[in-house]
Amino acid sequence: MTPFLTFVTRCCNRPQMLATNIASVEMQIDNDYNQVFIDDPLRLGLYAANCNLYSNRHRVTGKYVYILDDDTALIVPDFVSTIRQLAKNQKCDIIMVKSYWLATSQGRVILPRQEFWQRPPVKGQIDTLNFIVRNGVWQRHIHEFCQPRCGDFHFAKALFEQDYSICWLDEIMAATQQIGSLTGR
Amino acid sequence: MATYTFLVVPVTSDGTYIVNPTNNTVTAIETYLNAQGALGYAVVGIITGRDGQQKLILQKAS
Repeated sequence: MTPFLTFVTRCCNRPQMLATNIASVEMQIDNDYNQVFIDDPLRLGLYAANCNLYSNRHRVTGKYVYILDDDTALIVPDFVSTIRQLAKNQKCDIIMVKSYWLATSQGRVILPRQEFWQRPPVKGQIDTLNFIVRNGVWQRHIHEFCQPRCGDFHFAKALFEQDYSICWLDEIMAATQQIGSLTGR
Repeated sequence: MATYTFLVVPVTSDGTYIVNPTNNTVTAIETYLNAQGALGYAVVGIITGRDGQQKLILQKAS
């Protein structure tokens, strides 16, 4: 049976963070999901990881898709149930949400920042944690993610260039687990 | 491109008051939305947590 949501989790030899990631998924009140793991035990790098989404697209079967990499986690137990309510009531092709990003210089910041909220994506100001995408749309554009850097931006940019309906949910739903650089993304 | 805007707010069991999760104080929904500049939102969904806490999903009128 087709699950409502597929979590796509790219993994790279980070078992402790992966455990936190899985625990955050398993705490969901609504269990109508599956989680697909795309492992990179050889540490082939970001480009390979970005292209792995396309090459594993046949494994993604949920009605909606959310990329939740091993160094990230959900921070609310009602993520799935909330997204399902939106999907039921609206024709949302893309659901945009907010997330916490741990930045090297600025501590914990919210992405997208307020000045970029309800605007087309800006490089370095959007994360995979910010969009849940209807599966057919995700499959149609996931090749755009196959970039050496900023695959999330290129993917989101491609979505916004189409005439898809976008639902903006002003709620912080997920967070990164490790510190990164906003400018280096 | 069609766009829709939503908020999620915790409410009391009768659905009439917004709950502040930090200090558990409550505010009438109309007062809260007015303060947010968000009057005109409509309820499109209700979710209930394991602890029984209810949340309203509100959609801004387009």
